[in-house]
Amino acid sequence: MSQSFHFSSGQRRTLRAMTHVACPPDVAALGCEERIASEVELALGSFPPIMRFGVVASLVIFEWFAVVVPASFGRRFSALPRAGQDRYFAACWHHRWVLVRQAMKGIKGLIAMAYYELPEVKERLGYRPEPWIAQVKAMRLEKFGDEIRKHAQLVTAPDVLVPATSLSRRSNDVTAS
Amino acid sequence: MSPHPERLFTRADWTGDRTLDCDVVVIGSGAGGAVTAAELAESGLDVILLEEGGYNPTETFKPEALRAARTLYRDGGGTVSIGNPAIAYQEGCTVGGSTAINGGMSWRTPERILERWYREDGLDDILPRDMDARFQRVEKRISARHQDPSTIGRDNQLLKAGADKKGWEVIDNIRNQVHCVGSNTCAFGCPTGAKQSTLVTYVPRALAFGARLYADCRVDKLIVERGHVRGVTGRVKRDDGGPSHRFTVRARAVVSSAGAMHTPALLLRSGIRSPSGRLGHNLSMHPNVKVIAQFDDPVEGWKGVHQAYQVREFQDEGFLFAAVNLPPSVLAMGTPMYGAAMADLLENYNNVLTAGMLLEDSVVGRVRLGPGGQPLPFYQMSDFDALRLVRGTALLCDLLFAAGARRIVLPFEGVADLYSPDDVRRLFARPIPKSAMEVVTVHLMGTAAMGGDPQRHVCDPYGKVRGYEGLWVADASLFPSPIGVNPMETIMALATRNAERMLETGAGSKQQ
Repeated sequence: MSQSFHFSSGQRRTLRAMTHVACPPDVAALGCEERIASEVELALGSFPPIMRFGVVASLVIFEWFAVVVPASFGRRFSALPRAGQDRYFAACWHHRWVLVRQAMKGIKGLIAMAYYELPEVKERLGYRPEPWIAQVKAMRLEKFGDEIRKHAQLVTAPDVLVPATSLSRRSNDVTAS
Repeated sequence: MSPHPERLFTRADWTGDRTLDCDVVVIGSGAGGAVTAAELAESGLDVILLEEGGYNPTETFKPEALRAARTLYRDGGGTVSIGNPAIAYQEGCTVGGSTAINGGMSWRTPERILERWYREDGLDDILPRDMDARFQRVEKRISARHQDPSTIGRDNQLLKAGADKKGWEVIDNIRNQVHCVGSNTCAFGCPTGAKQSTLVTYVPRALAFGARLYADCRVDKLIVERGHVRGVTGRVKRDDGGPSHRFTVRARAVVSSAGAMHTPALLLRSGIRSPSGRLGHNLSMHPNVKVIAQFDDPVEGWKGVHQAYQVREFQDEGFLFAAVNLPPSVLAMGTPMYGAAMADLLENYNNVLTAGMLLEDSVVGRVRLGPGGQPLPFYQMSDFDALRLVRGTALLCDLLFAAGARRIVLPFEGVADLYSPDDVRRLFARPIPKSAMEVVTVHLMGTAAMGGDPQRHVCDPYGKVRGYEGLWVADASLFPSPIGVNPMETIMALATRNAERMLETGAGSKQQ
């Protein structure tokens, strides 16, 4: 279940620019930046508010901190040329502050997860779980149908719990070996 | 989609605020709650089972990680402990609780642990011979058994081959399944229905014996009147997770089975104060790390059963190894790389084997109340455990190279990939900072421990909360210590044992 959550246009722009650096190089050719941003939005909607705030704040700081990096000549991350974006992202990824590295890992993790959930990417990797599941599921029902039904009946068959006092007293006073 | 079972209600069934009455209200439908509800209902008590998550039956499960995270996991899986390293943890939030999303490992509590609980924690009626009938009872319901050999995939075969070459003890896993056919998407809900989670076992059993299950219902507080717990209050969750109708359930006994994070949080925000002062303390996490091994030949770990084997050679040192296939999206999320480097690894997805190492931790953390009454876990891994994680990872890498791996990606930021067994020694060349470790867990335990010492244990030896009448706990919060193996069956067997005591003492009955 997700709370409805939406990036501002600026946050969305930052995230789209980050996908070009964080994802495999074909991301631009696939034109999937918007879909990735939407998936990340949905994921953040289900996160605890404090985590959601952390991710959004990290995005904003990441975007604007680039302004004070001399090599950026006063530009935000999303306004940097691609090579500059790569360098800035790498600098943050390897930053000496653990918190910065963790924020980068967290955002990259969300972006990468959304990218590798795209059907065309799964297909390219040869990861096709749906047909596999359909095949083994059908095989299971055909081969083991009787046993499956038998167990389903057992699940609801009466077998009332007998309290311990009704049994011979257990080993309360026995010393463990 | 099949219709809802009788006596199962979801948010769609609510039209306004309501007050319900019953003998026993159980909070949470996972390993502890569903077992307790079923056993008490069959014994004739009027039971209401409340579940914060939605009702997601087998036919809704799909191999889509992000969708599963949103619909089946608490807080979308975005939960992390505070400490060094920060540890990502996951809990189920759906009918069936974490049993709906776990790997289906069904292990009895190790005998050494039961004996320790008897000796050091004052638990009666807990020795292996005492628990045997309870384990058997649980195993019959959830069909705990070995996997059909034909369903064991190449990732597990490679793990076993590596262990055999090293001469290490490797055992067939016992899993709660009825002819699992190896779709290997257990963590997103079993799409074939083979995994015998409480969703398809104890929950239907509870309903069959008259229990009522209310999904989408989040409990906010316990109703406490002069030291006697009389019920709960909460809100129905809307489709978007927000609160809607209010509900009150009045009951003679309340059982909290909300897990080791949310049970202490619920009790604390309800004003429950343990005479021991230990409510929320004693948090164990079984930290684990994963390595990614690349092979020359296809592995296709997604075709075959999840964790068919466990390497138990080092169990005395407190660690286990297993093959834990992950879909590309989850694998990519956790890899310590991005861009072209990540692409280089993931393009070979069908040639990789993901293996995990579970550590029986030697330190404990604490769950405190955070903003909005939510649990805030603090857990600081010890230097000793960090060293053990590195040692365990090195051993796991040895095993994988023995199995034929040609490259291993480590869960340690800043440590280069390994390409040969000789490279494994590099892991010890210089200390790996804890902050560089990518540690996760799905085993949370110990935050309302039971035992015989009122100074140390929040609950009495049968799970009743000390200092209050009518309040019981039935989940992994009860564990006095970590158990070193997957906890589901231990939770279920303890819930069975403690349900016996509830019946013996008349908890929830009108005569009480």
